[in-house]
Amino acid sequence: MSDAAVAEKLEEERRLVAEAQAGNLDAMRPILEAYAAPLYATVILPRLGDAATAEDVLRDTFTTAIEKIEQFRWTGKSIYVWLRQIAVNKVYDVHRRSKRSVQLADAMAKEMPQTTQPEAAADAMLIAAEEQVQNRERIGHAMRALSERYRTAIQLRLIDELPREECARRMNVTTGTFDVVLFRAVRAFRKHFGAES
Amino acid sequence: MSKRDDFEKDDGPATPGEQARAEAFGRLVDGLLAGDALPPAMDSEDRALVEAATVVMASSRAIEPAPERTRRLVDQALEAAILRRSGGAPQATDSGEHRAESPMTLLPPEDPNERSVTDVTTRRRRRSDQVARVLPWAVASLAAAAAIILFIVRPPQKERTADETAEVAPRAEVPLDVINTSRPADPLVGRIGKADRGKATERIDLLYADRMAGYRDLEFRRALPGERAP
Repeated sequence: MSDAAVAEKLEEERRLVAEAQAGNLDAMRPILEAYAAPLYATVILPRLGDAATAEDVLRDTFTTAIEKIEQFRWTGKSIYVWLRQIAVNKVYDVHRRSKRSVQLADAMAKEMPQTTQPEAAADAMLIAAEEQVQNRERIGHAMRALSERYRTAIQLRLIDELPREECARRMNVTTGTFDVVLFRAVRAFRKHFGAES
Repeated sequence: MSKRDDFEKDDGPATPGEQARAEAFGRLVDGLLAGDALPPAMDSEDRALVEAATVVMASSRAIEPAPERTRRLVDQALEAAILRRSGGAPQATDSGEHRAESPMTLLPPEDPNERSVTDVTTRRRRRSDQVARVLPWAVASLAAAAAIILFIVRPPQKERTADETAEVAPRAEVPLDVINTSRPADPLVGRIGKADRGKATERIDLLYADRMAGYRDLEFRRALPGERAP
């Protein structure tokens, strides 16, 4: 997207935010609908892993944003940065409430800044793309600690999204054996991801 | 020994239990890849593994909610925020946003022609909330006022006239046909003394004999010439 297009988009966003701050909350609708996908796909779901909870968090993020829109101060950057920060904090709340993911919550607390980074890019889609790259790096980092066999099983099944039978064929094992290898691989990944992310 | 070696150690033969769990997990992953919802009841460890698998999948491709689902989530969020603002639901916690709180008021739009649907909905909802608060008190007040007015303006009770107070003359009794009368049993049986309590069979026989006598009497009268059974 060209600089002029980004500037035009930001201006439209600024106008909608001002309208919402003046009391017309419906002006938030196009902003929220536009940023739902990147928030869900790059911020919330990769940190939660549960689609239903991720949708709840997305809705709560929007609710909080609408309620507190008067508190948002325009700094020339997309409101996406602000929305992303709300979403991250909501995700952290979910982890904190869920005892089974205390390890992940602690990891997130160390990893995630509690305030919006001033050096964040102005354009929402650019931020989302950078975040997607970071997510891949986090996954890759955890994957590197796994054995070759486990890495291959995860790669074939969860990243390349091949059927079980095809994965088994490529790994030269029976489907039942592949199921066990994948089961153990994901368990090892989970253990390592929570510990080092 | 590295962590990688630790994981390799786990790669031994599977027990039947582990094999079954691994197959079940494989089917769950099938569902994940197909975009199916997770089963509501799941073992916490299985759920943790499915979440880990989803995290991996979400890092490799953008998994997004469907557009209509997104629209519904936005609608729900707008509705919830408006409800909270109008006092219909508790305010959101500050967990999602760490700026200082400021008093929030719903400002009216400057141009009434540009009022949005949401804004109109807000006003309507606020008005209905006010009505809901006032209505029970209004109904109670009206009922109390009506009771007082009825007490004050009710017509005084009139003195009864002599005709109204006069006793109603007893109606003349019309004699019944014999067929419609019963043969009273009390005079026949009389008071049952303690000693006779167990003689119910005798009393029943007595009553039966009396009834039979009455029947024969009626039948006898019917049989005589010039007599008609009632």
